[in-house]
Amino acid sequence: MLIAAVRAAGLVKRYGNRTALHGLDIEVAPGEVFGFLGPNGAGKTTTIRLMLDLIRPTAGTIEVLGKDPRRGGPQLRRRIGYLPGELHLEGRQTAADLLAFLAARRGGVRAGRITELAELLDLDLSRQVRKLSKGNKQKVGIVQAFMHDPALLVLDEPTSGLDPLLQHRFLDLVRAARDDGRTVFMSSHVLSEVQEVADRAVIMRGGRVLATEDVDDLRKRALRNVEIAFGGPVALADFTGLPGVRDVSVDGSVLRCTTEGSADALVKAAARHTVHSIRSTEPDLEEIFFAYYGGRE
Amino acid sequence: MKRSVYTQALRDQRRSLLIWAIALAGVAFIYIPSYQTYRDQGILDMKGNAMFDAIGVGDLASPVGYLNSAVFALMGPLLMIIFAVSAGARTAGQEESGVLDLLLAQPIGRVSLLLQRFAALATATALLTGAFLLALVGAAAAGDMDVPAADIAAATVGLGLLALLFGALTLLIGAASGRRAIAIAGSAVLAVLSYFANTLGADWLRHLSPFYHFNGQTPLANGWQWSGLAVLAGLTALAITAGAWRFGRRDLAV
Repeated sequence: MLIAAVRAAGLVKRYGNRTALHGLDIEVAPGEVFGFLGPNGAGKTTTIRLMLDLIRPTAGTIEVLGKDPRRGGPQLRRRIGYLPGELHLEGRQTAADLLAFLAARRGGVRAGRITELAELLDLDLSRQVRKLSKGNKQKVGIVQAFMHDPALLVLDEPTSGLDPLLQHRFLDLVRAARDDGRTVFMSSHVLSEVQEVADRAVIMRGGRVLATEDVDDLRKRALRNVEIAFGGPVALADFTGLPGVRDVSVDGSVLRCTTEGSADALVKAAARHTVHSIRSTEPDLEEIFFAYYGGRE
Repeated sequence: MKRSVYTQALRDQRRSLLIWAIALAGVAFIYIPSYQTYRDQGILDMKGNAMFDAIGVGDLASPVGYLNSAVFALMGPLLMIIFAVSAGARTAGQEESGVLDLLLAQPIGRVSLLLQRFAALATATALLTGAFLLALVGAAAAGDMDVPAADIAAATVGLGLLALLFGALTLLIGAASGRRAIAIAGSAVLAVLSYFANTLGADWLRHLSPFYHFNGQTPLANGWQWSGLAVLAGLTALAITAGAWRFGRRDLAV
């Protein structure tokens, strides 16, 4: 039997009277890219810090690469690459210095690998880490997580602070890791980036798993907020009752609505008028949760 | 050389260490060489003041008395302890800021991290003590003070161990609480209490104070006081053991 890359059973974490995790059950197969979705405060970072033995479970069990994080200790962490959600770097040392230090601690970083990753991410290694912008610090964090090509990558909100071009390059790195047979466990509050790379995703809220989803299904149901500006006033009646279109409102010549899945019916209805512009945005996770799971609680 | 948590901690401290060494040398050369001038002016003859006796600066006229009052009674311990406490609080500060999360996600054990941080603190304190000792011996010579270098060394090493003890206590409180402010405030309170226990306390209370074990037997006059030094070192070892034990068992930065 294959050993799960990450397995949690009945995992509970309490801080005083506040419960951050209410009995989490998840299983991540080796070689899988696993999305861990949820708004802030859903328990994502708590779960991840339990995996790294930074905190200890109140009840239940967690296994990483087949080992209890506490007993696995440094030997286990050698096989994990971790990007903290709130990355803090300090000191006058340069990025190259810090990465060399971390590489010496880790071992298994092949020569030239750090430079290679830094070039890919457009990171200037000669600058002092404390003077780096948030985005550049994040790049240092990504380099140190990937540099030793670990069996398991644990990434907490990896794309925060990165501009769209770099987000793409980062997702390429994740794909390359998957093609290498590595497991990627990645938390996010943005559905679209998880949709791009993940095979499976768990959706968390308030310390509980709301749903485990096949990412292809999520993609098909993709929810979008759409705003169309027309050449002149339009009638609300022309757009109500279209398949896959809801929450329609018309304000003079501007139409707002939400589409689920295909936008075909909306586009064809709009085509009968003069269209100035169309804006389609991904709603934030809270909205998606409400739309998908609002009735279930 | 392969870099470790220990060498990295020392690297991070080298700048502040240099500044501290210069500051302590400054203290030595500002206070000590003026001894002759003060004595010749007769302003050091003020025996019989109970308050001064109590805080250990009653005898200013003799070279040993002057050196003890100027450096070892208050100013030296104050500065050295501030150095060790602020260095010892660094780990708790990093826990609060989140730097420690990244470090401890590496293949580094918690106990190992804490012990290496303590080793770096001990090395830095030893280097600073050495620099201070050189400055004191130099300043005493410049001021024509007739105090043997070996006795100055005995007192200064005690001072270094006293500072290291409070640094270790800071590390312990930080390792237990994860809060920099608590670590600093806690060890500062302990330092002030120990100071007054030694200067104003009854005999039994004095013996509980680390300050007594550092300077109660006046090493500047009486040479090496091995039992006092052993007490300081033993307390330090105890603090670090307790800190490592607690640090390995709790949740980080909650």
